[in-house]
Amino acid sequence: MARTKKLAGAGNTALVISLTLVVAVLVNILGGQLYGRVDLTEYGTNLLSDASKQAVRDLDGLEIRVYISDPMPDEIPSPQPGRPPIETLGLGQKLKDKIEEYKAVAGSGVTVTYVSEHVVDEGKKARLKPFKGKGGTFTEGGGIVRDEYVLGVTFNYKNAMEVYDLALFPEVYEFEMTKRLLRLKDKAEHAITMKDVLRAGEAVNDAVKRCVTALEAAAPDKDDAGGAMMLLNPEDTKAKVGAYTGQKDAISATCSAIPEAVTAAEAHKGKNEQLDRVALVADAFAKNLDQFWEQIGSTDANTATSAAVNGVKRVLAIGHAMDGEYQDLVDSPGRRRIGFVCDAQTFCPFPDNKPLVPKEIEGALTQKNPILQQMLPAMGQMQQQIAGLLAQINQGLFRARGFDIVQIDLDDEIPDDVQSLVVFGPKGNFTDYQLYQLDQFVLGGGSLVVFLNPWNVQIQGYNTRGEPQLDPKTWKLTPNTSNIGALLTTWGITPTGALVMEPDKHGDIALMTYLQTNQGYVPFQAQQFPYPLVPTFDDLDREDPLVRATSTVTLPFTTALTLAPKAGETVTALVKTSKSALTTTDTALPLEPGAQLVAPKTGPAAKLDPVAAPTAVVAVASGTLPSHFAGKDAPVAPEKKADPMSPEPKQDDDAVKDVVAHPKRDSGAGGRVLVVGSNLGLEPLSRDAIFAGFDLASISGDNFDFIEQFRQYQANFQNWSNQVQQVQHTLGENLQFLSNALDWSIQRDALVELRAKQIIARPLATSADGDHGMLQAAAVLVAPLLFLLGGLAYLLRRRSRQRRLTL
Amino acid sequence: MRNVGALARREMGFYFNSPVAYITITLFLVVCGVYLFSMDDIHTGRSFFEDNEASLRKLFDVIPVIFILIIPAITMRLLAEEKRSGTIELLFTMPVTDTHIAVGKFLGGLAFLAITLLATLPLPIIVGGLGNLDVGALVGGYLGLLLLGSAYLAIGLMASSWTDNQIVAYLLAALICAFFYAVSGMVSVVWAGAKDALAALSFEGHFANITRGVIDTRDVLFYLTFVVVALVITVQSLQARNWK
Amino acid sequence: MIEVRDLTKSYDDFKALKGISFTVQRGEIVGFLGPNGAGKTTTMKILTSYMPQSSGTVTVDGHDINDAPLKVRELIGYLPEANPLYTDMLVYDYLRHVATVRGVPKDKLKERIKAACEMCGILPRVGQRIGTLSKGFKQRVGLAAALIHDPDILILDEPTSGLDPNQIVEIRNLIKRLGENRTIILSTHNLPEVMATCNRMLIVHNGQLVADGTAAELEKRESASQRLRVLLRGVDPEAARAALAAVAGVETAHVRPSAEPDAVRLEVIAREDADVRAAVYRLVVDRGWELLGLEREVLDLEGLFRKLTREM
Repeated sequence: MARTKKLAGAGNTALVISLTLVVAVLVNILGGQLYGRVDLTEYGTNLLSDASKQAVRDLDGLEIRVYISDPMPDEIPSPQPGRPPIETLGLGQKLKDKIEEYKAVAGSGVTVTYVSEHVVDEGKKARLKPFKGKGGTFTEGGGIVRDEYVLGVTFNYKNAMEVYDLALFPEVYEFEMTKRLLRLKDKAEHAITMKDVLRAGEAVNDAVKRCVTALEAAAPDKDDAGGAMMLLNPEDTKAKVGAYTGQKDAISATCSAIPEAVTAAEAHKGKNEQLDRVALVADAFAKNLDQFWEQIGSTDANTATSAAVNGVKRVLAIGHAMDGEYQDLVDSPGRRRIGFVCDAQTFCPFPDNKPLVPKEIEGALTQKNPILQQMLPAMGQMQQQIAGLLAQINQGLFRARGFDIVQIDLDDEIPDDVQSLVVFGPKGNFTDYQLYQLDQFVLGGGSLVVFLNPWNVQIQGYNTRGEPQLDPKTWKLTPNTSNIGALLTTWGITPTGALVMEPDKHGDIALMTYLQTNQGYVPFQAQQFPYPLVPTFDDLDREDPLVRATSTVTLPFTTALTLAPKAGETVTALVKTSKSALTTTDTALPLEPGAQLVAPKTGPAAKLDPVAAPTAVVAVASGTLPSHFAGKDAPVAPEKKADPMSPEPKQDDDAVKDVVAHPKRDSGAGGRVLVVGSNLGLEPLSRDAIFAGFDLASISGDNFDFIEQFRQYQANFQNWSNQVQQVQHTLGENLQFLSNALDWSIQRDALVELRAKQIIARPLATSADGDHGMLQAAAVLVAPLLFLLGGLAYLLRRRSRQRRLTL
Repeated sequence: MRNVGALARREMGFYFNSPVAYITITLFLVVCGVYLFSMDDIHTGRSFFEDNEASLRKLFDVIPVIFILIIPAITMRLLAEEKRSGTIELLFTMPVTDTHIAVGKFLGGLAFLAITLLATLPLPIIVGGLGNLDVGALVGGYLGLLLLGSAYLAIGLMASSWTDNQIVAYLLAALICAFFYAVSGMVSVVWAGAKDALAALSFEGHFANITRGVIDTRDVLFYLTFVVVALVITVQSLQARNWK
Repeated sequence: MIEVRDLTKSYDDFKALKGISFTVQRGEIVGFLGPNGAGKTTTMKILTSYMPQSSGTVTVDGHDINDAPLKVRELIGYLPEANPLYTDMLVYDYLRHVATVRGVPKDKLKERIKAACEMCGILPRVGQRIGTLSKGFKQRVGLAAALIHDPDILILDEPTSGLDPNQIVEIRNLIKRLGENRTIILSTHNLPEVMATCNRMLIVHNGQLVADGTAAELEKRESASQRLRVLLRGVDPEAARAALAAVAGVETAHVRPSAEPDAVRLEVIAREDADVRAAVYRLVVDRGWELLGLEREVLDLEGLFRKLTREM
């Protein structure tokens, strides 16, 4: 009796507990379906912004396909080298949540499909880049094929598609998705107007694709192990040659559509750069194919064999390259490109691959002048280095961040899809016509971003003997004079040219220490010194999304700006100096770290002017902007001159393109101008800047003076890298600011807003180290002590009350 | 419900009518202050001033771990001590149900937790004075701590109901709290199939969401159901006396 | 007021209660008597619904303790055996706590606390921490807590155990005073305590109720047959026995071994209603026997208790 009762009790408890657990799980599962979220953060960091909501509502009929590998590896290596691996736990859910958030906003206008079968294969088909986990399977050869996973989304709207793959960072989901939605909308809209171009491209692509398929099918590789194996197997090679020869007619018939399609595409030449490239690749494919047929039909067995093994590979590689080119074409409608102005010695991140000295005449030159034997290769090497650096900057700083940048020569017509121009650190003067182009571009509604380059600072510069100038007295501060200021003044922003110093808050300068050896000075290591000429600003306009997300901006060698808005426009200071900032125009300013703020030991004291009030160093003008050329005649476009030093003529310079004479504007609304007082340390690096004054004629004779010139070139290059290295650590901090400025310039304000809310910078107020100690003491000692005392007081009061307690 | 309130108040009185609570909380505040302002972040390896960010993220990183040590100490006596000293007999013969007892004790612990959290407010005030603190994220963080702390409290109470030995109750509670806090970290060790389920049970994951400033009903629901389940088990464990 | 029917309680294989039935009327002070381990405390714990019975029913003022435990607990004020208290609390705070949990309305709190303290004589101690009080005062605090909601029924488990004699007297007086308008069940293993305070006693032994009644009733019940001890000299024991047995009203007579060498010791069992002492005396005189002693043995409660609770 007792025992049964006990069991019944235990059984009842077990029942109650398991029921509770089941209900709890069910409630949570149900809650997982029906949930609500409230974002408490100041800028709604975690939930969709209005811009994102609008973006998805604008795309009625949008189809979202979600690819989430299941299971996922626990962690995967970071795509950014050197970063810790990324934990994947919960990533899929976060991606789903974000997609559902978009869907909830758009309602029935959006369909969401979660791909559940063969996710990786389907994802790859949809052009999602897979990533690899730690696990994998061993191949017979002993290698490891890593397991592949996908995590991403495709957005399909009308015929256009955008892919968001490697969705590994939930904090940027909204930014990345909305960016693609905005692009998708542009793409779909412009695809209609570019229908002919797209169709021509499609025809070319189809023709090449069919041909490639036929070619691949003719003699499929038995083994993917590689060509080396096959060379050892003459039987197979022979069979291949036989297969190609036998099917030549059939394949040729399939491939015959290519020239026709290419011709049709070339009819559109100049309309779309990407279509031109598609045609070019198709043409190259056709030519290589012809060559291949020639070789395979050769009577020489070796030639035929080589063609069957390697020749076909080359042909196919070109055929496959078509994929990317065609995709770029499909993506090109609605693309918003940023033009980098490459005039007046600006920083222009486009490598110039044309050699200074044409290869053909190199031999003749060295014969005439033996000293060139060493110099010409060295110059070639320098050129290559420069091109490599520029390519790196182009890719790393801009393309990898999703900016479609294009080189602009203001003497030419500015392409229509360029919606913003960046003038990065001009050291020289623009011609009147170039200024006119800029002026009219802005007045026509374009955006102009100008990074000024007011000063050339030579610290530890190299002399022509290749020696670093370690004596601070030899360090030079020279003003750069560019007439861009005159244009900007028209719009109410005047660069004063005065160097800004922040005595209290500034970044460092990295100076090289050298070891003196019997071979001269050898660079030892870079050391950073606090440097007021690399001022850090924290007075940022927190209302403006452009800088809201940025905690501080460090602008090396920046100039102050004077703001004087013209009628009809607004000029806002985005970044201002502190009250204690100093300015100077004194070129005698001592440049060694720690010296600027004290009087130099010798010579007259540098003239330092305290600012009267916080002064702008970054400013933006918008509204109805007046023309710099108002009341003047429009300057005439220069004649095209065949200057060997000028950049190669671009493809769209062809005569096919009509140069439409636009009517001159005297004012215009919609355009915007952003002016930054510094070039962020990115000194111009171009062939022209390093090899300034180079003239083929000067080396054609047996002229020994060229040695001196050559040394100057070397010094120029060394000085460039010196200058960049001295302040390049500030660039990392400024990247977000730079990205924002570029997005802002292509009218993607929504993205600026989104980027701003991802990482809201909440910098601490400037405070001295002493204050830190006080604060620490307050937090660590005072607050707890107060609590303790409060508690004791309460206890004592209670004690005394209790002694008097009566009823 | 007045009797539940009285039960809760009795626990409050126990904590705050003796200096122990004040000393404990003061020590907690010192640790928080030192970690926030004087120690390098575990993740970034930088100090508060080097990070130059008006944020209490560091605090919200470390408090859940400190709580694993503190909250079981708050809860260990709640039922175990009553059992040991026999006062549980008074409780069981008063006109209150076992549920009242469990809820009252839980609320008493919650009040201690709330006061502990209130006592940390000088930290956000100091940080808020230094820079523009995101009040929303702060509120989220505190709400998250309250929810997480509630789950810890419920676990502690549950452990306290299983034994009449406070030390045993403390160790059990701390172990269970640590398990649920770090369960997502242990996932890779455990078999892969249970990964999602275990991850869904992780305190850390749900906490991280809230401290970001998003109040997601799913996270709140998770903590609430967790508390309810633990309280139900506590009540059942109290009723186990009826098995005999 | 309290009705107990066939109450049993088993702890695993040990049967602590083997079917106890009794009723307690309103206003009674009932002593629950029994040696340690007889089942007193078990019964009390079941009455206060601290733990459930194995079988049987208990109703308190018409409420079944299993169906309406809260109602039952409201009616009862309980002082557990060990008198557990929150020693960290002040007397006042403790009483206030208990009163609040017990649902004493807020505006009556102070009044009730004061009344309970007055009754238990701890008014001067309300500001003291319970842990610092002497055992007697602690007991009073426990009593005051049991009284705080002015319950109809008080259940006191060993209220005087561990107290010194003076304290015992004080507590007993207190209980007597409390019993003036309440039903009290008091458990003890101490007979004088019951004699001193109760108007009815229940004796439990080995989980069974072995006696139930007022002190007088129990005394009477046990003296239903009376016993005479007769000490004679110079008689034949067997003859004397036969003669005594023949006396009207005597049921039997036995010869018992005597301490004195020439004395005969006889035990005479007589019917209760007849006082056979006179008849025996006359018989002795008639026969010319030498009467050394005649004594009627009166069984007192101590004896009864011992008898009832002797191990069987």
